[in-house]
Amino acid sequence: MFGLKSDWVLEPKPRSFVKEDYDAGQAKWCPGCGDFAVLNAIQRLCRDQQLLPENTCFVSGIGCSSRFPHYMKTYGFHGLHGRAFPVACGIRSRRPDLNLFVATGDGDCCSIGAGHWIHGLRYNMKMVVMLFDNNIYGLTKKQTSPTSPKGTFSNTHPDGSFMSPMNPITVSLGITNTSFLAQTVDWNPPHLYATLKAAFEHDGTAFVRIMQRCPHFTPDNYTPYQNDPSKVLLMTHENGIQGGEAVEKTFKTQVVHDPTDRPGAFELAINHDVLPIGLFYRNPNAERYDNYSSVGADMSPADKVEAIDTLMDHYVV
Amino acid sequence: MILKEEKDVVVTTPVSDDGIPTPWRFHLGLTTEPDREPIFPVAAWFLRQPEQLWRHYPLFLQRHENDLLVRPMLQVLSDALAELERKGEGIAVFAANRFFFIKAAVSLVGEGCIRFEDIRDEVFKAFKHELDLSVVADAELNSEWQRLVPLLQGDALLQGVGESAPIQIYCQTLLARREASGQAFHNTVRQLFNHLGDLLRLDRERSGREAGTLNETMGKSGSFFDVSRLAQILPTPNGSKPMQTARRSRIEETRHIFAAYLEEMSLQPVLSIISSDEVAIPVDLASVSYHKGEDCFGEAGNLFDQKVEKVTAVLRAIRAARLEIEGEYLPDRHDEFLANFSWQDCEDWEKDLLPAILVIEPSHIRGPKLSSFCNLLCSGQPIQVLLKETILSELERGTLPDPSALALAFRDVCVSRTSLARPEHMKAVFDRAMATRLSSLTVVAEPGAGVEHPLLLLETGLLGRATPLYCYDPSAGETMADRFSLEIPNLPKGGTSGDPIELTFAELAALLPSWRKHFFLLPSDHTQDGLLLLTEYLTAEPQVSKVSLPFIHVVNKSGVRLKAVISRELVQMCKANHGAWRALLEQAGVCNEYARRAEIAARESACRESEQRLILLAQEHAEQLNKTRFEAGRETMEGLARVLLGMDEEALSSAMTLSPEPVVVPGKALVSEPVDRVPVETVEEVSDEEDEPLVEEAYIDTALCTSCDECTNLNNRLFKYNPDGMAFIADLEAGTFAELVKAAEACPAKIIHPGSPRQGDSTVSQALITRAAAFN
Repeated sequence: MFGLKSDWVLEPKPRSFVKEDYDAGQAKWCPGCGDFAVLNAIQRLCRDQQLLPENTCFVSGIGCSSRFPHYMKTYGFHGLHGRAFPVACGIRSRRPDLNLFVATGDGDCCSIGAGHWIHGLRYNMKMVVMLFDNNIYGLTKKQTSPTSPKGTFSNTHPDGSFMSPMNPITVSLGITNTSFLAQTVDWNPPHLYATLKAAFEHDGTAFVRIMQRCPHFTPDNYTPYQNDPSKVLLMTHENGIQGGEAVEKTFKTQVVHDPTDRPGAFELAINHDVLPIGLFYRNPNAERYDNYSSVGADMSPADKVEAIDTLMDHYVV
Repeated sequence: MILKEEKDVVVTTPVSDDGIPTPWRFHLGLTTEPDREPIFPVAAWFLRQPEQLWRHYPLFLQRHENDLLVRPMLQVLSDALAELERKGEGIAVFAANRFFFIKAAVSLVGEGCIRFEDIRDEVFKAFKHELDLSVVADAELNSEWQRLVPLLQGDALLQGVGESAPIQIYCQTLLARREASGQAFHNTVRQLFNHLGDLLRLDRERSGREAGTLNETMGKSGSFFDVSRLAQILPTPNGSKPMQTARRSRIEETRHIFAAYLEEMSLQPVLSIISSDEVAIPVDLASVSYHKGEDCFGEAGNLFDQKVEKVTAVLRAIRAARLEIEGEYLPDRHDEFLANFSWQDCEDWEKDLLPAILVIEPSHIRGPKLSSFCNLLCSGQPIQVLLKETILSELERGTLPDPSALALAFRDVCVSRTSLARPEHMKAVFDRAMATRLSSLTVVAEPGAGVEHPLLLLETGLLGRATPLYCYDPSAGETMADRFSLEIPNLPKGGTSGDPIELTFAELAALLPSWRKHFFLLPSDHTQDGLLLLTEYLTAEPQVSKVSLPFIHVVNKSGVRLKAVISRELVQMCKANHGAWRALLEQAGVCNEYARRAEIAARESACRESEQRLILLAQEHAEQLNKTRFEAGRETMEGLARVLLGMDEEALSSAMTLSPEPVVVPGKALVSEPVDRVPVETVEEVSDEEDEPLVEEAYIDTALCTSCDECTNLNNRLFKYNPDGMAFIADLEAGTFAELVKAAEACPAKIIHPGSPRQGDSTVSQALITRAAAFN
């Protein structure tokens, strides 16, 4: 080296990303699957927010939904069945600078991962949790899931399931320290996008339940709502999800709901006559565990050793 | 006999010195018609057919369970022939000639009642003789007969048309019903008799322990004991008291009554028939006793009282016996009850055991007999009265009261009118009379002695409503509709009009030689003298009938069709008969004059209301029309005025476009040059959803695209993604209409609208357009 040359100054050029920059390839879901809409909405979100791909991470468990990280040109962690939350919490604890997304399904989250789900919401670490609720175990070819409607015929229930389904929203409302609960549908991309955007902008764990069509195993579950928008109840509020004029024109059945009204949110969530979409609950002041769990993340190994030595000195005789 | 017109007879109507035509003189009774050859009413001609004549007789009477089956031979034969046909066995010869078989049976059985088995072969022989078949056909008929015989009721009785028929049917029915009930009663009495005997025996044996009884009681274990010593040692069983003397005597008396019944009453006849000397009873049955008497009705009542006392004693004894067996007899209470017990206190089933008495009399009851008859009807005694009504007996018509009408006045009497012509109806009214257990009266229409064609006469009488069929059963309900049932005969249709053939009383009279004098014959083409058909005469207004001469169509022995004028006397009878039938129809609720008048009044009222309404509507319509015309004219004039005053030039142009006729401006010449028309903007109407025009060009609701790649995979030049990853139609020329339709069908969000096919697209077909319509 004979000195620095000015033309060797490495200043990273400002980067701008298009949607294709986040596209990792052809998704292999079934034709007509609602996952495509979510994938597209997330890619648009990433583009609109100009998220650095190397600073974005998608964590998933097992299921159709959990193929998601494979189709995003970002970092991803395709983990064990039901264990997306612990992995995401760990990532969040040690890499608070990453944009973290969790892709989980109704079986992955509400069944085997229920324990992690409860505490994951309670920890309220900043992440966007997308629950792809297609009411079935689809990847493993049709088993009854906790959100399968009563009477669903499946390989595990050839005569029809005999338990009423669980409601992830009401369960989540009952968890202490929940800070963001929303529900949307995959067949209305404007509302889907607006919800995911609001979730991304929330400081805390944003839990979004996406009613996702499965054209192969549960083709008729959401057909009534898709064909008759009046059966979908749009929750509106100035502090809620702003879907835009197109969304309000599509879903004429509306109710003004204050997201801080937790009992009201519960009443809306248990209404079986309509499918409510929008923001159920938001608490911007909920505690965040990642504020504590990320303590020491910026310490170097030497700092850590020094800190340990200092502690040990207290016990020197 | 073939009906034919007599064409050579000169039509003349002789006129007497007083100027009255002879037919009228005859009708008014001023002259009499000398006896001439017999005539036959044309209206009754159809009754001569075998299918009509031998429909009901002869009858098969057969016991079946506790009832008597009454079936015409024609029906039995038809069923047997149908059975053989179902089995595939040929019966063609017999089936084609079965009426000859019936005719042979009728001639052999006559008016009597014979066991069919006894005359079966004889009937068949006469039948074959009548047919006179060839050898082959005869052999065929013999084999058919062999197949048929097992299906015919050999043990049944064959009953002919005669006065014995109603008596035979009644007696057989009663005997069948009483057989089972009588046997059951007999067994009941015997059981009670034995049971009471046991009571007495036990009481006798109770007084000491008899060794024999003890030995019986102990059985084999008695061998271990000295039974006689034990009998002495054992005390009297606890709770065993000697029977009271009064009780013992009651039981013995009851047993005595039972013993007397078992010995005597079982030998008593089941039915007693009482008749006067003028009535012959051509029936001789076992279990039936026959009595003659002058005052049959009075004697029937007395006989009933005698017999019922014995039966009542037995019924009383049964009650006492049951109380004694249960040990519940309380003298204070039951002595008086039993002393006052009479046959009226019996239960319904017990009334079936009361003495059965049948009184048979002619229907013309008069003098002291009438009084006895009425006393019998109001006595309440369950005595059956059978009155034989000979058709058209000269004496009773119009001079004596109708006994059935008289009986109806007693309210609690079961009254029926039936006819020999309808044996099934006769059986049904007998069943009803027996079931009611009340006094009953049945009037049976019979042809009378020496009648040449009894069935013909009976049928004519029935269809002419001279002998109606009805039944009044007071136990059937509270209303007349429940109690009274009238059989309306089905009249066949005939003639060119196809209307039902009308038969009257006069047709019946025409069949009887003794009534021949009431008919004056005229040629069939005689139209003078105000002739009017009797059926029309009877329903005509008085001013019409006063100047009309009633007649019926008849045929003489030579087959010549004639008109027979009817005497006034016979016309009166016809009117009375017609009126009586109308009254019956009203009573049966079939024809209700009040309802008819109410219907007419309601109809007229409805017509009036609708007419008034029509008038009102017409007035309103006219007013509205005038108003519209006036307003339209006014608007036109206002527009014109505005134009003339030059206040609204636009109105001129719109008036010109709206009105095809040129607007004439006064004072100005019509413009001969063509006027540049001001283009008028057509107002676009707001279209409803139903009126939206079909989409012309294909498009996609891009905002709702879920990016599923279905359309882009199909044709990525036709469909592309926008920067948001949502599909749109990039280049219509790059794809075909078929691909648009396919993509529309595959799109899970249903947001692709194929529109109308482009010009020159070879993939277009009507089927595709139809499929595309669902997405446009």
